[in-house]
Amino acid sequence: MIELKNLERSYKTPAGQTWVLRRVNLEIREGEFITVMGPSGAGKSSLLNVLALLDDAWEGEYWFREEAVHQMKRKQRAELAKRNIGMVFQSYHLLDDLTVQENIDLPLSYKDIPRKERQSLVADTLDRFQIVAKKDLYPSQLSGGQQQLVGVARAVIHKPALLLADEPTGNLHSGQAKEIMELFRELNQQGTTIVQVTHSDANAAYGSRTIQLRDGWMVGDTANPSLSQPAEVSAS
Amino acid sequence: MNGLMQDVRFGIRQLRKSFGFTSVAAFTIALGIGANTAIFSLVSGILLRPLPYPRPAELVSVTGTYPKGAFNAMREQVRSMEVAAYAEGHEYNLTHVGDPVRLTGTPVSSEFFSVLGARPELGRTFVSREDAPGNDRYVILSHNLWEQRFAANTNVVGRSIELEGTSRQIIGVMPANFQFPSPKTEVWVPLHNDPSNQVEYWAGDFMPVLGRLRPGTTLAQATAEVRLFQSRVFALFPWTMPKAWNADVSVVELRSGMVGNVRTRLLLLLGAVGLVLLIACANVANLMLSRAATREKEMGIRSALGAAPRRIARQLLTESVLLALIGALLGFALAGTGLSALKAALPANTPRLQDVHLDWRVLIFTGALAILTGLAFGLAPALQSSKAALSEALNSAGRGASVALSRGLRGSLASAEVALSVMLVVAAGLLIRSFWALSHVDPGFRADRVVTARITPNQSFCADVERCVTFYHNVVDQVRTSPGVSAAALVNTLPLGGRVSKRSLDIEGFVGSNDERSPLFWLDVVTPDYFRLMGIPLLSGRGFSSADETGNAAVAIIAASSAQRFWPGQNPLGKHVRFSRESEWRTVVGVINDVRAYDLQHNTPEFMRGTIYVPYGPKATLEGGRVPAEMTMVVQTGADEGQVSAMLHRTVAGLSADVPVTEVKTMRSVISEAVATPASTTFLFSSFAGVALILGIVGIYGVLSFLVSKRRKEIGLRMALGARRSDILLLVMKEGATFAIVGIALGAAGATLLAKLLATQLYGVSPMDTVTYAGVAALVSLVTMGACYVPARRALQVDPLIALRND
Repeated sequence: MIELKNLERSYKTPAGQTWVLRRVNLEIREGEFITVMGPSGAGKSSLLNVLALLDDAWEGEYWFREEAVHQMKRKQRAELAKRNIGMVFQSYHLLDDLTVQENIDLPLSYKDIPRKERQSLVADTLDRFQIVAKKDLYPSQLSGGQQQLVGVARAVIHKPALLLADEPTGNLHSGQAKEIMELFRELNQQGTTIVQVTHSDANAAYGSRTIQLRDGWMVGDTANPSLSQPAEVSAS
Repeated sequence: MNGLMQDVRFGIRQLRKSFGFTSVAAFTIALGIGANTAIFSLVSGILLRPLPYPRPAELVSVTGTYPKGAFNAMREQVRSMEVAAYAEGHEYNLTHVGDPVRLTGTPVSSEFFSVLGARPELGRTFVSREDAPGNDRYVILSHNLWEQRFAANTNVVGRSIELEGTSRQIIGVMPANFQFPSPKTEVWVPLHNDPSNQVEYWAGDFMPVLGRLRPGTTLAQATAEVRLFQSRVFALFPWTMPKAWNADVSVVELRSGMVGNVRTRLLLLLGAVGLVLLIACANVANLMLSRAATREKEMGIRSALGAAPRRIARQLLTESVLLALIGALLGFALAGTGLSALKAALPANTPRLQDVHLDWRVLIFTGALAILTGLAFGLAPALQSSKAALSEALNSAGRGASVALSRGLRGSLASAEVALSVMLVVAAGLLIRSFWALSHVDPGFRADRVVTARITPNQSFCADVERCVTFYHNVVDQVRTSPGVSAAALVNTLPLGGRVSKRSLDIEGFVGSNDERSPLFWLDVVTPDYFRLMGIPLLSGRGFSSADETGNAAVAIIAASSAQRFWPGQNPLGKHVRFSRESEWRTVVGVINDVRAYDLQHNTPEFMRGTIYVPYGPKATLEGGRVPAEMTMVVQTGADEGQVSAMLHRTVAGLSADVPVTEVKTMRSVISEAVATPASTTFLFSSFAGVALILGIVGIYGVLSFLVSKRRKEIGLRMALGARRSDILLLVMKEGATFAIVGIALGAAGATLLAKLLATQLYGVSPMDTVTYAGVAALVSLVTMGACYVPARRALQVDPLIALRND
């Protein structure tokens, strides 16, 4: 589904160039449930942002279903992301002034989908996530777990092929976290490819493959046991 | 008290710390307060300041005007007040004191000065019966004339001077601050109350009457007595007076009587600058809200340390009032400059303009305004901050609500600014369209390459009709043959020149009511070349010829609208008219195009029924049976006023050394002076509307910029969820457009009310003129959308990564 070849990402700072991703080579197959792990600053979220096509300023090759994303213009990348990718954030990022129903409808509103069809999709999603009763509430009236449930519902309403989740249970207690992870497993079983970033081994256990990042380098991949940390890491 | 001082100290420190914010806010307030202070100075000096005479509250004016006969009757019959009268529009040649000069003089009844309580600087004023014939050869000089023509010589009292060919003894000099009825008055002479001259006594000057209420008398009592007198005075006239004459007479304060319709204009302008100040307040309130948002943490800490919401609100209000006081100081300085500009922009004949200064009244007004302004723009942010701080201290979930409240408040303020701007811009738009219509009125004559000058021999000079007529014929002949002059002619009252010439006419075949048996006409006495020179089209018949000037064949030319009024559907040529109480009929030989002679909106004053032209000559007599002594020369020339003035002075002096030549100006400047009042009102309103619009745009820009900065996270998230650039642009523009549309709708509704107040100032445009309203709505939409576009563009620069990371 996705292939990254020698992908690199850096920032210019007053102190010089700071690398956050180094020569990342990664293949993600359809239907995988990948967990990205690593200490803070390892580049996990940066990798997720690159995958989400939120970040443009990387170098290397990014192939999405045989399409060369690295050759695409910004607008084409945005269109690709809109069609195929959904995102779940650690801090939910729901819009305070919109109701649950309106928040879920938001991604659809940016697509050319007729209003009736949108209403039907939203109704289905509310039902599927069992939050129909909450549809007219505002985010501030929901618990953290409920907010994240809405966040996930919003991420998958347009049936993305790839679901990216950045610490999706970071702000939740264990009971709520478990519910969300069960939901991810269910989505994965229904065919959605998932890439999650997490510090939690328990969450990682839901995945089928784990990738380890250190200082921007990919240093471990359960699908590729031969991968090891390169020597120049210490110098970077 | 200690707490307040602490607030003040802290407030000063805060304002110094945010120098940029303080400067912008103080300058905005200074604009509002400065404009208000300058206009209030006018209101204070013209409308509010007591008249500079003893016991000014007793001074009144009668709203009607009366001829000498009626005034003398009033003087004898009215008991509730002591009355005095003065005649306006008189001029006198002063000769044998340097070059001959034309002076503005005011004939006054003998009690004029005593009623006002005015004391002379030198000598004395008039005493009882000094306005009777044979006992009235006196004159009182103004301070200016005394200084300029008599070198401030203190021995001038008792000396005789020649005024209009008559010797008069100087009995006094008035102080510099005595300028009644107008600052232009240079001499006061006694009213010549001569009942034997029936026409002059009952139909001469219709004079304003002023009075001093007797102790214990009220305005209502005086009004009742004057109305009773009015009902009886008709019987005294030797002819029937129209019933409408002084029908609604009343007695009003002299101060308000003097300012007339200036009051409406001043109050409208005060209202306009009041709106500008409101917009400035809304603007600064928005700035304060933005600043308060950056101080939420400070307020939270204060609240957590035990500060009550009221205490926090007081702290912020103290800062607002301090800021307003700084703005007021700057504004007061601006008002000084603005006031000079205003005085220059207002027509010179604005009453009491010389009384307008920045004085203690204005200072108190500015101080009070500053405190009110500070409270007005500080209240919303203070309440907002105190609420936000409390909720911050109690639970963090409240923040969303406070931001939403702040957004609503800001939006309302921005909409209010747009609404107030729309009101002012509509008002300015209506005035501009009105002024445009007025400026493009066809006056009925051509002003290009025409220079005019008044030539004013004494009445006594023209008492010898042949000498007078010969003199003027010689002047015309010599001027016509002067180098650079292509034509020259004379007229007794120049169109739009501010003077009126009237005569009652008997009209062949016209039988009016009792009131209008001999309708009053505007009488123009002209030389043959006048129509051609002024480009006034002859519609039928013929113009005047040199032969007509001898008066052997009595002829007249009538204005088209007058002919239509009195001989509808008939050919006016060959019809006859005659001056009332004269025997000789004049034959109408021509019909001429109408000329806007009185002002650009009217051919004649309302009380006149038409316009008639007669050729200059021995039979061209005014009321009283005399030929006009004062004539205006119109010269068609490529030369400038200076050259024409020199040529005319030379020519006239060569014919008679005692005849002054004055008011040399182009016909174009005569027209400009005729529209000076609407021009100044339009200019001032447009300036205020311009400032209002700029403040309104800045306001909406500021609100949207703030909202975009507050919504960075949301915008980033929307982008992350697939929003296109056009979606984001639309999102922000839509928010701005909502403020603008609400503002425009409210403003248009408000403008209809304002326009009703303006109705009396409009010409050729309805207060509900849809073109103006639609034009202003389009203009304001366009500029507000322009103001929204900049923050919207900035929203497009939001990087979703950074926005989401800043969570």
